[in-house]
Amino acid sequence: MKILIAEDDALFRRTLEELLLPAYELQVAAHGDEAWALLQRPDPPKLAILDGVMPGLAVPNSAAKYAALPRLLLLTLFC
Amino acid sequence: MTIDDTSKAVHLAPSIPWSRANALQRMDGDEKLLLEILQIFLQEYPKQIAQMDRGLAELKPDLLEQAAHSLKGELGFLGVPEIEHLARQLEEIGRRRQLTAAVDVLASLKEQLSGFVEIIRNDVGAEP
Repeated sequence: MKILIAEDDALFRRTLEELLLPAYELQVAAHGDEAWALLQRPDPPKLAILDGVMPGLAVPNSAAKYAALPRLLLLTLFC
Repeated sequence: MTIDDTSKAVHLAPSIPWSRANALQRMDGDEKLLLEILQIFLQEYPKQIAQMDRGLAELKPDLLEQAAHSLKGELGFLGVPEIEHLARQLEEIGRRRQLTAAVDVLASLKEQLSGFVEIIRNDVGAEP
């Protein structure tokens, strides 16, 4: 299964990558705009793990935009 | 600064322990990943400190808040709650836009952080 990780903090991005590989196919974004672009491609990830306070991805403003995407499960992190 | 072999807790100052074992557990026991994460922290934390300094110098509380938020998360993840608390205070100060209150807290954060950084530099075998 393909998963999108959107996280601007290099430390958390790397940890998530390492813990989820090789069980999942990962797409990784360090900025909200990059994450959004990855979700617009053909055959996009079905699960997105999003940092809710990263640049370009301010939840709740972005939440509706992401929630409107078909067949996408969102897991949003605030910490 | 001492290392307690029994508890595996590293004391940065008399009241500030760092449990390497707990940090390792968070990474699913992956020693290689812990070392990599510590190296990333060593690369990233000076940028966050510089951004907080810039926030104070240029009277931009958003810069302070953003950098303190990142540092808070990282310190919490690495298991240094005493220093994480200082970063949390700075994030809140930035959010409230009360920059004068940040000066002393930032000084304390830098002092405590230098002890932690020394420990993890030794851990990863990095040059100061």
